[in-house]
Amino acid sequence: MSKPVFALKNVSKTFSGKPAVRDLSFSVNAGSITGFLGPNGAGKSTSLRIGLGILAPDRGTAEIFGAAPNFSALDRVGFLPEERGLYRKMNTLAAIVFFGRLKGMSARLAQKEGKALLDQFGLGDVAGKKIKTLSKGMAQKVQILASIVHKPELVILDEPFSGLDPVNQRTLEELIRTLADRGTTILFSTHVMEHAERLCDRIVLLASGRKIFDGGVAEALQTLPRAVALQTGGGQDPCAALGTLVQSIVPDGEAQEGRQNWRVELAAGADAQDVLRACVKKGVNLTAFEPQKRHLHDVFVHLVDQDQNGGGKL
Amino acid sequence: MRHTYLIARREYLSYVATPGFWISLAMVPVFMLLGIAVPLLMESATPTRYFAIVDADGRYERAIASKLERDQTEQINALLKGLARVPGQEDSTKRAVKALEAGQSLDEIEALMDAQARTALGAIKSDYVLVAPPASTQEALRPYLLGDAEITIPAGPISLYAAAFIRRTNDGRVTIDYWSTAITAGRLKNIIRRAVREQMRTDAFASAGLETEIVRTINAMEPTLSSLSPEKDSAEAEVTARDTAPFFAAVVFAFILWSVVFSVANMLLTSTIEEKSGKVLDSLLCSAPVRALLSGKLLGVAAVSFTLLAGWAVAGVLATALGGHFIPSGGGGKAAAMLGAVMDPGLIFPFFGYFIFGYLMFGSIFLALGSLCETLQEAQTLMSPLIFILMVPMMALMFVMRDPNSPILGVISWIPLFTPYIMLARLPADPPLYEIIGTTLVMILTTMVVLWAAGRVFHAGAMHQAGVDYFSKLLKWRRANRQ
Repeated sequence: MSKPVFALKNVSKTFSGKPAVRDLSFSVNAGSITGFLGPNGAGKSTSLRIGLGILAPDRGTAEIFGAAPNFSALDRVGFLPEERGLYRKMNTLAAIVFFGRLKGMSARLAQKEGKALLDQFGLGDVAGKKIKTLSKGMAQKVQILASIVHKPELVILDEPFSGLDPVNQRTLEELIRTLADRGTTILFSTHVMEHAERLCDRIVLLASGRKIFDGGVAEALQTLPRAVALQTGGGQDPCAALGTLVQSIVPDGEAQEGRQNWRVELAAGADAQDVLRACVKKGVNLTAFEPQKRHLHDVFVHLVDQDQNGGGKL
Repeated sequence: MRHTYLIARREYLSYVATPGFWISLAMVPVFMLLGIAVPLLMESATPTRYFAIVDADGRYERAIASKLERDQTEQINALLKGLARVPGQEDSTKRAVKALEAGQSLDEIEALMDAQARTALGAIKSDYVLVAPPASTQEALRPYLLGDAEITIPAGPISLYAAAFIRRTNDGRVTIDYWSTAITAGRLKNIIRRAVREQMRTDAFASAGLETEIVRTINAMEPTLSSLSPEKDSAEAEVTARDTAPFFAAVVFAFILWSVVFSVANMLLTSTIEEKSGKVLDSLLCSAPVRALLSGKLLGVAAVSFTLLAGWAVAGVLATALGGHFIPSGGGGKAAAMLGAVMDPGLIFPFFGYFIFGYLMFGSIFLALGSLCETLQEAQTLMSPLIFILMVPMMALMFVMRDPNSPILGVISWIPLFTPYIMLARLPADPPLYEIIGTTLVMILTTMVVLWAAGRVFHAGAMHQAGVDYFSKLLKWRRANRQ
């Protein structure tokens, strides 16, 4: 098993008496793409800032490359803050070079790599323009490039997709995959589950400052009960026919023209075929039957709901 | 060191690369130049004014003409006194003074002097020239005063600037009706009034039995005041521009010091707020230690200040040196004295020393306050008390020229935040050595404490998200810990 390059251990942080992060522990292994998920205000940014040593925790410790955050370790890290932080009056290339040099690059190398990155991402034309003259999406790309120009081993991106149009979101996804293919470890926070589902090997889910899930995407999907969408005709109620096969069965909207949609959550061990067989056997007038695909979004909503309703911590 | 250097370099370039910086660099010399040139230009551009006196018995008119002549003689005297101190002009000036005393004409005096002195002498012209009235009644004179009719002088036709009707009543009172379209200008009015008053007194003394010649002698009596310094040899004890220039230079230096510290400390405040509100601080904090941020910013803006000061110094030296050639009426001597005072290492080295400590104190305070604020509006709530504190040395500087070693200034000098400005301004007055050493030590110690405290506040602002309520929270926390 690869060594963790980023870890938080029992970290807590309170702002003005309000807990932002509560006893949070998780680690990120080298070479992985980890999604740090959670609703707005869950404590994602605070946790990342603590992990980078930007913010001091009230309790707990942070480690980067096996040691407390220090500047020789941070030189191997690229960080994209949530709210984009670039000097508005600085030239695009100069901004990339500045952050590259802060990370230990020589002026010449930073200049060369900065130019190459700008060209690679279609920003070669704006190299000499001031940041303030760029569109929001362009500025965000520049900020991302500034955080990776020094070829970091660990890249931490805080809400990297926010503010980007779909085309640029796809470009960023490709960049993340390219970096990961080169062996770079990626940790990114988001509340848009589709990105995490497409990119991540692993997800850490945070709600109200607490970790509520930590594991692989498939494992996360397993936390949701399997579901089936049914439609019955003639005002028939399928509840009696399905018995112990289902965990819950609820009408999905109002009945129309004698047809009623149902959302069926299966009991543990049951599958869609069992439900179909039971309906046929019991003579349920089925007009539609569709096994439901589970998405990370549903997992997210399910787990957050569970947490807010007093659910357990994983 | 790498981080500090890079942050300082960025900070420096971010200001120096802006047009605003070059404008402020140019503004001070330009304003200084305008401050000198505009009054000179206005003076030289003011045309000679022609006026008439309607005086039944002519005595007052003669008194006014005599007064104008005496004023011009006084101006020439003052000029010659200044020129007498300019190397190479001594002999010709002595000859000119003798000629003046002998009652020779201005042309004859001019002929005795060299070209530069003649230019200076030529600049002394009569602002007001008395001409014969073209009419004797107010109604008849009105068109001349309104520009509808003109009088003729050797240079050509010209309108009348003013006319005064002087009448003596039977009871001995004198009334002057002064007519002019320049209703706010008062100088000629005063000249006429003073000349008439002098004549009235002469008449009164004469009617009391005193001889006119005696009265004139009495009126002409004027003490000769020489300002002497006991610190100089008796032979050359007279206080000259060379002696007073260091006092002016020190106050000007102190003012420049105050202005630069205030403006660059503001730069630090705004740039820190910009970084915090724009989240640049997050990017920086994961790339550089807090102390490198603090020191880098301080050094970068200090370099901006030194560039400004160097630019102003070069402009000042050039202006003062060139001023000697272009400023007439003995001003060249004053310019040379000022240049000597400005270039005095005894003032330059303390200036830079005081600048460093003044800048570090105020700069680090502003920087720390900036780290607590997200917006300039937030900063204003914290800045207000500091602005009041900063105004104190400005006000105190006004009193330094009057009495540099006054007890109150002595006390203010010991307040470390004010020491750089007040002590710098007081230096030419030779304050006691213990005061210089003592205030310097207190200032250095305070600077170290302020730097340490500012570092703590900056750390809290940057890394603990402390806000404008930081100090009130700190106080509450301390109180709670005491209980």
